[in-house]
Amino acid sequence: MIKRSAALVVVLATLVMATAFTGAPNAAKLLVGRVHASFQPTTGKVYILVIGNDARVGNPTNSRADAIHIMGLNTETMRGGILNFPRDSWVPIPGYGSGKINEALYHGGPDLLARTLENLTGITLDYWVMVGFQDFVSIMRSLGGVTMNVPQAAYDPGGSGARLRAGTQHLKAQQALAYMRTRKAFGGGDVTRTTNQGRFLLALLRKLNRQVGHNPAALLDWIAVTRRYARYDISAEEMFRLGVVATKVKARDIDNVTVPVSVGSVGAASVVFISPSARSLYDRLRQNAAL
Amino acid sequence: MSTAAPSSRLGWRLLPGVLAASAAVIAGSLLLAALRDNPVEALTFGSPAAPAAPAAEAGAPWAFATRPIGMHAKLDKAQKARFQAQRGRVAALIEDLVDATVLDPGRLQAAVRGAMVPSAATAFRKTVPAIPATATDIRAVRRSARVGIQAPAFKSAAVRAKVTMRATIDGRLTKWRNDITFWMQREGKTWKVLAFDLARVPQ
Repeated sequence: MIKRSAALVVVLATLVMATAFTGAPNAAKLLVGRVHASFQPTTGKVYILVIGNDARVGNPTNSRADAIHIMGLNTETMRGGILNFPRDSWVPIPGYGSGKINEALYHGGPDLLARTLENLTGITLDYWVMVGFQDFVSIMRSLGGVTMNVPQAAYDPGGSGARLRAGTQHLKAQQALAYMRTRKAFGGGDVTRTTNQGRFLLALLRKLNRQVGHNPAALLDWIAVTRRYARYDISAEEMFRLGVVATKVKARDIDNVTVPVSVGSVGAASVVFISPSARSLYDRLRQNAAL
Repeated sequence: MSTAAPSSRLGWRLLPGVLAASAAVIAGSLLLAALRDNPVEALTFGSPAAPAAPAAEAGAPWAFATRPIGMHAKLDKAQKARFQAQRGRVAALIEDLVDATVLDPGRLQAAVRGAMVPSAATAFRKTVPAIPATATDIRAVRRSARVGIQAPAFKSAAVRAKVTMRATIDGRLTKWRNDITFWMQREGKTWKVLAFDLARVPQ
């Protein structure tokens, strides 16, 4: 049923990322995977784990997750939610005790990260999608960047390379990557960064919707772009359907929320602890696929 | 050309707006249903097309602009042949379905049956707006469609069809345009619509 074929970015861009990758994760690629082979969206709710990893030239494998988001989509209400997890969140990792959540990717790839989040939230994830630095840039270049509101100026030339003023602007590929990566530019550090990543996903969705509204075949273009940079184990047909769903969801109907955390340390490591109040967010997302 | 299902004038005037606003929602539900393979109870907006609604004249020929999407390089000979074959099938289906929708509502049931997945068909039947019973001299003045077919598999397609109509309603010349988007997939030789958007825009 699951076939290797084409179409990943649709998902990324559409937020309805989906697919199953059953082979060994290649961290340098945008990957989309199905978490549970038996998945059928019979409940009208779809959950996608969105992962950005730090794979790059010189570090193509053994990557850690820099961006971790659960996207819920209720296909009946056409509402959704993005729940963002700071990468330094201290959580139980199945088989590895406790650790930073981004280590789950290093230890066991997207599947282990998905299991970690399933155990944490009680949400059964349907798909995961993962992209590394290089392919993110390639995809964004092909899509022509994205226009979005940057609520807070970001200046971090020595780190992520971000040099962004506040306000609505068009981000080219490298600027988009810098925006997704930068954390030192903000007082809120990684928490602000992960919220910004959610904003970026919504900006991508807006772009997809705008283009598809003008010409529905744009969806096929987006799929084609991802095919160039992605590996995945989902049929093109399924990807197409998910992409169509994504075109029906308005970004304004998707809430972008970061789990509440407190800063702390474990040994020498600086970490954040997810607040127990996050449980209500998990419950809402599990029940409604929205926040 | 036959007579008419009752349709109030007020309803007719409001219909375009209502349809435009609701079409996306409907399509979303459809889609869902298509994903699930289970027919879903479709929402009803506007007046469903009545079998006895007046038919119209196809005054303008169809103009199709079809292109393959997703290939970096040019299509090779075999791919071109496959594209041509699918392009013809898609065009035939669109022509039949759209004409039944906007020109000949009496034929809608039959046209939809084979052309759409069940859930989409159910919702589509309930969504298509009726033409007022008092309308006369109904004519399509322009029919066009932009079609994208995903290459090289040619198994998915997106279509935006636009049909501009003209009619005399209660003595007044009225023009409107039907904008219909179809999302289609192919199983073997058969294309099916799995989701749609439909809007009627006053001109």
